[in-house]
Amino acid sequence: MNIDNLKSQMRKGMLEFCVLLLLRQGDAYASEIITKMKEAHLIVMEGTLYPLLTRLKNDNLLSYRWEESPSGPPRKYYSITALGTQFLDQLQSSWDEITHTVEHLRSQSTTITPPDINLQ
Amino acid sequence: MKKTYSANIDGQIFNIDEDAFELLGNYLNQLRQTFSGNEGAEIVGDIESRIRELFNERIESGARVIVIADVNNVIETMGHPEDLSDNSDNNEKKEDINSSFISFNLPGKKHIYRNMRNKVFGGVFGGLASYLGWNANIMRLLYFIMACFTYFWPLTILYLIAWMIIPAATTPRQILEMTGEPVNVNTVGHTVLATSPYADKRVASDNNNNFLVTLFTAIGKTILILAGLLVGVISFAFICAFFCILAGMVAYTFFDSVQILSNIDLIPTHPGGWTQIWAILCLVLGFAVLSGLMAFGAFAEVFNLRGSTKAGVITTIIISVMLFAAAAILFIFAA
Repeated sequence: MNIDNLKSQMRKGMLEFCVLLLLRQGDAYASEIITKMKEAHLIVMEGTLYPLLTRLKNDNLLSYRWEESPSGPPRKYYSITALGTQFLDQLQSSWDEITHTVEHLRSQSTTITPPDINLQ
Repeated sequence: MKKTYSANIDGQIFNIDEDAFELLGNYLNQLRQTFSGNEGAEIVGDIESRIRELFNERIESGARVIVIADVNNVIETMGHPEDLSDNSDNNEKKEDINSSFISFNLPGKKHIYRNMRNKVFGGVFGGLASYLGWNANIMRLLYFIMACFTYFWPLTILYLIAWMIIPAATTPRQILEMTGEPVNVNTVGHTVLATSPYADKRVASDNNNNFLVTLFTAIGKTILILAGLLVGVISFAFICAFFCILAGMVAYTFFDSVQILSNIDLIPTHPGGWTQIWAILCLVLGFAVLSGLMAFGAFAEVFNLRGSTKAGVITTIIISVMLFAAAAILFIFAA
């Protein structure tokens, strides 16, 4: 069992969820999303974000518009669609289920103290 | 000192070092391979515009030029192509991407270049050795023995032709292609870092037999100096002959004196004699130019002078060929 592999898979599954959550707060362009994720201590390889955004957009969960920026060329602002909000609600309920299950198991495991192992 | 390019990245112009440019180009190419189709083009476009932002931050913090470290930073932040492939969709697609990646990485594209890091004269044997996977010194030794048996000239000419035809490996990409290593972000970055002053390193690094190398270099230089001297003397002789004939022609035209010309067995009063003298003049000048070029080349190589440019060499060769052609035509007229 590769711990790094498992960790990255857990993070990958979460990533869509996080992006949608971020965009529900308001529209943002890619660099903004990255900054916000870093603020939330979610470290992602930036390159993974772009395919994800494109995929979400192609699935009609996100839409985008071009907006002039004070510096440099126009920016691609993403916003969440009605379908995206629906999708997010579903994700949220399943996330709640998962955390509930995990929390439940964790609280059980802490109440049962592991048996003392006598080394001698 | 490095050459810089100006690159248009998502609508903004950046000054970028040659090696950084090469590395970034490779990186973007690999991303294009990883993300294919319409969707891929969009993704790579987005990534490129992010790269522009990151570079812009560097420029705003005072950098004048994008260097290799900046590109490496960008690659570290964006991630290596193989980590980015969107494999959550389906495994089949992932396998597809991976297999295309592997075929892209296969060292099938091995090119022959002159090896500037393993050379005595022009790096022909260094390049051949890395191309064929043999030992350069053994090849040099075999060549030397064969040259001894064939009175030097044929093999020397062969070597010079190879030197002219085979391009030198100067960019990191060429160096990798020479050894047949896959050209990808990792290897190019590695080569760039390992060989920053990558051009014009005399044999030393990847050779285990330093004595042989020094010996060959010494022998090579001696031969070059002798050859250069010989050709230089020949060139000088041709130049003298040229001025002699010219003087004779002036004397005949203006003072009606055939003395100088007849001294060197040229008789302008014979039928066709005058045309023949012109022909010989052209021929002599042609030889003078050609041998002068060779002498110059030999000395430039030995003393590491800035040799003439390729364009200069080609122009000189064309001039001498035209002189030879003119001489041939004049000879035909004279006959």
